[in-house]
Amino acid sequence: MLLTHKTKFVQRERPMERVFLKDQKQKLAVKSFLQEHDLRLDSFIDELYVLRINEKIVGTGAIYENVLKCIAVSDLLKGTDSINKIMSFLTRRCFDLGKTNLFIYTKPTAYESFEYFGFKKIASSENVVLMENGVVGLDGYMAKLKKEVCSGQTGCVVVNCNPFTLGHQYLIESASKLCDTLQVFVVSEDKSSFPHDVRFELVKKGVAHLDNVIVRKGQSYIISEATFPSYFLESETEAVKEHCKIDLSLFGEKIAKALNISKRFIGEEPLNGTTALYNETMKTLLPSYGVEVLEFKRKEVKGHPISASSVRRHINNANFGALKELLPQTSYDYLLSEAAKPVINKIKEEYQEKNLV
Amino acid sequence: MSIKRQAIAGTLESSDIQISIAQGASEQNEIYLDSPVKHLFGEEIERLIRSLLAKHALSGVVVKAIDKGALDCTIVARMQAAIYRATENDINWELE
Repeated sequence: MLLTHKTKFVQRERPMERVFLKDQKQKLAVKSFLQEHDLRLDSFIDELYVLRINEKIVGTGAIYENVLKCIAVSDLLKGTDSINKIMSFLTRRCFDLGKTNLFIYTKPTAYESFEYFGFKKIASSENVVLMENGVVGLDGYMAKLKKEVCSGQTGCVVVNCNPFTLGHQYLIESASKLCDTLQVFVVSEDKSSFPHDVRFELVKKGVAHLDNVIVRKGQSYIISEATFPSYFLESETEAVKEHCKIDLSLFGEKIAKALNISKRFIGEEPLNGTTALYNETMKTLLPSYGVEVLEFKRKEVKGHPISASSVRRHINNANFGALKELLPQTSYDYLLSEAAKPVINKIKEEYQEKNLV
Repeated sequence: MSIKRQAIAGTLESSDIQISIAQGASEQNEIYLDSPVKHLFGEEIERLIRSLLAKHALSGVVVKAIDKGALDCTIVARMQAAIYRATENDINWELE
């Protein structure tokens, strides 16, 4: 009696169990399980869960920011409800964490199985499909955008502005002269030294003198953790290329169409590798969606192109004389304000960390 | 009642339904239903969901329902749980 009860208990499927990547033994087990299913265990994972039967891993799923990853289930369990359990668990867990709009990267051959769980394809390249499951989602975002559609030639600039410099102001001013309406998207992801709200406000203040400019938030759909994960990480070029294509096809196919955008303006990128690659991909990809890409030379001060990173370096050195030459009055005033103190401290900490490495 | 946060209830397992609720952009209630029996019971499920929204005096709400063949009683239970979480309001369960 006792024995049968015990056997039953052992065989029962447990709910998903969290695995910590610090645990090398567990990590290896998950890694080899994923390899069997042609998946890679990358290091960008917040929470990793496994499904076990009799101590053996039979299913996996992971969460990174608002992206679900590493979803696999053993061939033995194909056709059972295990994958449903994993997907239910992950979506539920994300909701508890306040992540209500989830994304999945998958192969073009596998995306249909995620449609079964309420995910919708929003962008694709030859090798990758990006899907989301939000209640409001991309359609909701585009509906919001469409409320302010303007007639005439519409152009677009996408900026991170960490922080807003005279270089950004120059780019936006020049671009606004070449179209009737200019849509400025500020990257929403909070991965920069300056928090998103501050970056957004500084852009708004910095372009307030231009009548035909609308400043918007890029949210999850323009250069975000979902559309362009490798922008914020240092990863292999292959992945970067793939992400560029996803981000740009989403832009071309959906956003540009919704807003009638026919021109996208970019600043020349001699320094940053990822952005340079992004810009190159843009020049080949966007024209096929009817969007012309126009590149501006960077504005220079004393023979050096203005860059946000040099501004951050001057902030670290408290070199306010140099900052005054690189920043518009609005950004400069912000730096002198009380509100900027935590940001300045953060930048100094970042520099200290870099020096230690 | 009004929606205070996005909420979810239910699972994606067989015979269940996963309901997520959020504040929409318009005045109307919007329902997205995904179900293997949509061609048979789609209208009925939608009507049931609408009636529950009306019962709780909710408007301008977006409901996303991923059905895996749930019975009406399950749909009602999941809807109530989702509404309860989204409105952060206590439902008087005994009256329901």
